[in-house]
Formats: sequence, structure tokens, C-alpha cells
Amino acid sequence: MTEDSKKYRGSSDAIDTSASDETAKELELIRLAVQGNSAAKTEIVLKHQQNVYNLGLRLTGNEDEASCVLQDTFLKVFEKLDGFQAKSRLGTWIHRIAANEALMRMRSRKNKYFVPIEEEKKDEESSYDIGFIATSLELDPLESTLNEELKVHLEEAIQQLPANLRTAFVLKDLEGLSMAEIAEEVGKTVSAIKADLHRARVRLRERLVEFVNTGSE
Amino acid sequence: MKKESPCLQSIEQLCDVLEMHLGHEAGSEACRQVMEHVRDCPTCCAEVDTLGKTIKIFREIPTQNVPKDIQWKLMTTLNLELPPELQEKQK
Repeated sequence: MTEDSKKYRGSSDAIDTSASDETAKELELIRLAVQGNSAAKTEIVLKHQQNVYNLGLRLTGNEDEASCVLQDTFLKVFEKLDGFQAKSRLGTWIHRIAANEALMRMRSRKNKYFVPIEEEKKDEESSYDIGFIATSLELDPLESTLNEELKVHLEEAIQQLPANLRTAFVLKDLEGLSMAEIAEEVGKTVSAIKADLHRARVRLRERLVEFVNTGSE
Repeated sequence: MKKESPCLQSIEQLCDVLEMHLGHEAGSEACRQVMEHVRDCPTCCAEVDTLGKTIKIFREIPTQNVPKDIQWKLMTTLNLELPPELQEKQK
């Protein structure tokens, strides 16, 4: 939950509620929102806006696009909320809509999701020494706090991935979608997504190792 | 120079192992066999370990707060009441 929504909702969130209570609360919130209750809609927005915005930002790499993803997602959420069947949590459903919106934007701006493999830099085939990488990552940057410089470096590394690799990495490793869900979202086979994901992980590992070694020099 | 290792030729299977480490698709015979191999192979072990560490580190990147102007635009578009912290912008 975001800081904003915590403030807005007051101190009731401090109460530890069970999962079933949470689900019942969520269903009540949805029912009220479907009836047009403005406070319920506001609560839904405040609870989920940060996840939607960050998903948009990571997939599109652009604040303006992320803002559009945010707006289009919630417009669609409230348009379709009466058809929400509660087979999943509301957040999961919203997340899926947001991913769709972001992917549509990426396609429409001709971000070339379907980059032919031969056009990409095949850096996973470039030479690398796994022993060197392993030694580098033994200096776990997370043993201390994730510092600002590292955060910026990692965000840049994600944005510099080709769109197809970025999509696979963000949706699988950061957002936790299954391979099958991602394949369905982007219209590729599970094998193709696995290949994209692996290429993304290898590239990001290289960037991480670069950062660790630069910092330790 | 590229390390010639037959282990790394099974990279797709290693991806599956990694998924297993993260709690997905566990239990298959293929996974079990690959896991056995990885346990005994220092190169594969390092490959899986370093990719796992990479994912862990990237997952720790904190998410950004939605900028106030974007929140304001969103709430206005949705015709919703502005939370107190956004009402200043309205004034």
C-alpha cells in the first residue's frame, strides 16, 4: 500500500486482518465502486496506482507513457468492474489490465517488440568468465542498503534492454507473471519468452557485474 | 575468451532450474535431473547462482511514488475527489 493511501485511509490499516477479512473488504469495496461510490473508487485508485505506474514506467521507460498507462488502466478498470468475477484478487486483475495497456502502447509507438533475433546484440554469446562473475557478485551489493547510485544504474540497465527482453524480465522476474501468462499477453510462445528472459537476465547480470567492479576499484 | 563448457549448452534447462528456485514448475523429472547435474558442476552452479543473485538484486529496486501532478491528473480524469495532499494543487 502506498504512503498516500495509508494517509488517506487513516489508522485502520494498522489493524492486522486475516486474508479472508481482506477479501471480504475488497469485495465490499468493489460492490460500492460498481454502485458509483466515489470514496470506494478513490480507495481502489490509491491502493493500486503505485503498482500500475511502476509497471508502466518499467515497461515503457517513459514517464509520460506511464502516466497514460495509469489513466487508461483505471478508466478501463471502472468501465469493466461490474464484470469482475473475483476469480483473482483485484490487484492481479488490475495488474493484467495495466500490462495490456503498457504493451499496447509499446506496440503502437512501434517499439518493435518483435525484434528479429538476428538483429539483436547476442551478448549472451559474447565471451564471459563465469568464475569472474561469481567472484564479483560475492560482493553482494545488497548486504548494505541499495544505494541511490546502484538503483539508478539498475533502472537504466532495465531501460536499455530491447523491448522484448525488457518485457519478459519485468513481467516475469519483477511482476511475477507465469511464462504462459506472458506468452499470452505478448503473443509469443513460452519457449520464445524463456529465451528472451534468459537473454535479459544475462545482460542485466553483466551490467551488475560492471557496476560492482567499477565501485570496488 | 569464451569458456567452452557443455554445461552451458543446456542453458534453457538452466532457466527452468532457476524458475524452480523461484518456486515455479518444481517437481518434474527433468528438473530433478538438471538439479542433480547443477549440484555437481561448478560452472552450472555459478551460472545459476549468479543469475539468481541478479534477479534478487533487481527485485530490491524500490518502486517510485506516483508524482503528485500525475496523481492529480488521474483523479481529475476519473472525476474523483482529490485526497487532501492533492487539494493544494487545485487551489
